[in-house]
Amino acid sequence: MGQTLAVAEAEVRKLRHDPVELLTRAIQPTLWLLVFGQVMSQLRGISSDGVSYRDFLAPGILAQSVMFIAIFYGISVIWERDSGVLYKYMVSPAPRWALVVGKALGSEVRSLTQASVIWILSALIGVHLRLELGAILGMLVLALLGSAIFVTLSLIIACLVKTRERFMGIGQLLTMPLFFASNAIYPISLMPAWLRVVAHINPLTYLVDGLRTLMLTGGSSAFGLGLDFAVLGLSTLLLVVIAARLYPTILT
Amino acid sequence: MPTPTSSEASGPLAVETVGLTRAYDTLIAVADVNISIPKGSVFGLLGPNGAGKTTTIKMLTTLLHPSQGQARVAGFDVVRQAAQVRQYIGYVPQMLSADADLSGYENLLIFSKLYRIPAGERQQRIEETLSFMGLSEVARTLVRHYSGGMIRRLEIAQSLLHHPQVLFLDEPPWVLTRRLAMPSRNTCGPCGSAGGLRSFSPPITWRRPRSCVRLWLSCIKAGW
Repeated sequence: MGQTLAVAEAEVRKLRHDPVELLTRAIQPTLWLLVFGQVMSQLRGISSDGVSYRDFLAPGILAQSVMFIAIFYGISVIWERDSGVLYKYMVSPAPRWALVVGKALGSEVRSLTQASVIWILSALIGVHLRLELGAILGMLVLALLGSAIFVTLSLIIACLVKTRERFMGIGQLLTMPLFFASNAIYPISLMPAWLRVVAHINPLTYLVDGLRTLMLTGGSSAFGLGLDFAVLGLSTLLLVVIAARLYPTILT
Repeated sequence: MPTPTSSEASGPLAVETVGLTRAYDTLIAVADVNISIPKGSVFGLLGPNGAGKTTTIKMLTTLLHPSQGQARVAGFDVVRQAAQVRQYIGYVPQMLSADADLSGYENLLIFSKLYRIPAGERQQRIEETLSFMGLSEVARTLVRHYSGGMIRRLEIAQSLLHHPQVLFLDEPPWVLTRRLAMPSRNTCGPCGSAGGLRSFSPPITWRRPRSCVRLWLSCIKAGW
């Protein structure tokens, strides 16, 4: 456990030395929320499950930004492999799973800062937020789980493709389909049948669904919070196991 | 973390390989290597580029599984007892491997935690190691601002922090040998030149010269 935290600590310390990244990362979701959200909320065509479109969109953008940060995180491992840092981690007595979970935790810090920024921004533009402590904590846990899924997925991709160029390609390839084949910016009920199937196996959907329930005063869950947490929790576990297996192969 | 005395680790050899082989598909990178390196010695592994020196070191440091044969480091099998091997070795890779986005102190701090050095001892160990490597003054500076030589010294510091029994250096560069050649009471002697190679002098001050093995498995390029 201490070793896991040590790996995460390294990430946090790096962020502390150079926090600019956190700011620049917040720009894109801000635009989604302010520009896309404001314009689209003028349309009456989107039935947004009983809440205003602005409210509907906020949890979707929060989930999206968490995912975007997490899914490109794996490139740092390729970078560390190329620079040689990773070799020393691998030669240390820390178990592989501790290295993987530590990396995921380190990335959580970015995701949570991002989530906080979007939450505050949502409050500022008048999204009807639930302010109970329990709901906020639940939301944080969901964001953590969601981030963990996409970070470990990202680490797995890094181990498989091994080069930065290929990784960027795959990352780009993954993010948009994951985003659009989810309930992040429109409800699943609007989708054609085949896309609904994809949306139902997309973990982002469950993240958004859970967030919508816990974040909004009028929010309702399509799947139930229990299922949301279960899907996200089990996916994380499965991906950590796979990532820990694959992790050493990135060196060869 | 207790540093075991030589009697705790089984076998009198620091490194022992039997028929160590590594093949990549059809290419045999390392074929049937048999080495026995006694504790307390300095060992240089020499060979032209592509001879398989780094591959050998990777197998001995548990980074790469041997295709055939066995290897024991500090008395432990590199495949079956990889965790123990990792606990007792120090390793400086060929590349500059300190984290450039952290300070020198932070680099050491993270590794002191990875190696489970007790919280009470950490500060002292880190400070000792930094001062031994002449890095105390730049301890709080980000490594990206270090010179190449300073980074190398930091890497050595990192690899010594947990008082390893066996130290592996993959292609130790010049700048480092000059730095470490400073006379000191616990210094082990320079190792001589080998067949037309420039001599390599990696003496190092060791804090516990009696209980530790001073082994430098070094690779030197031909034609230096």
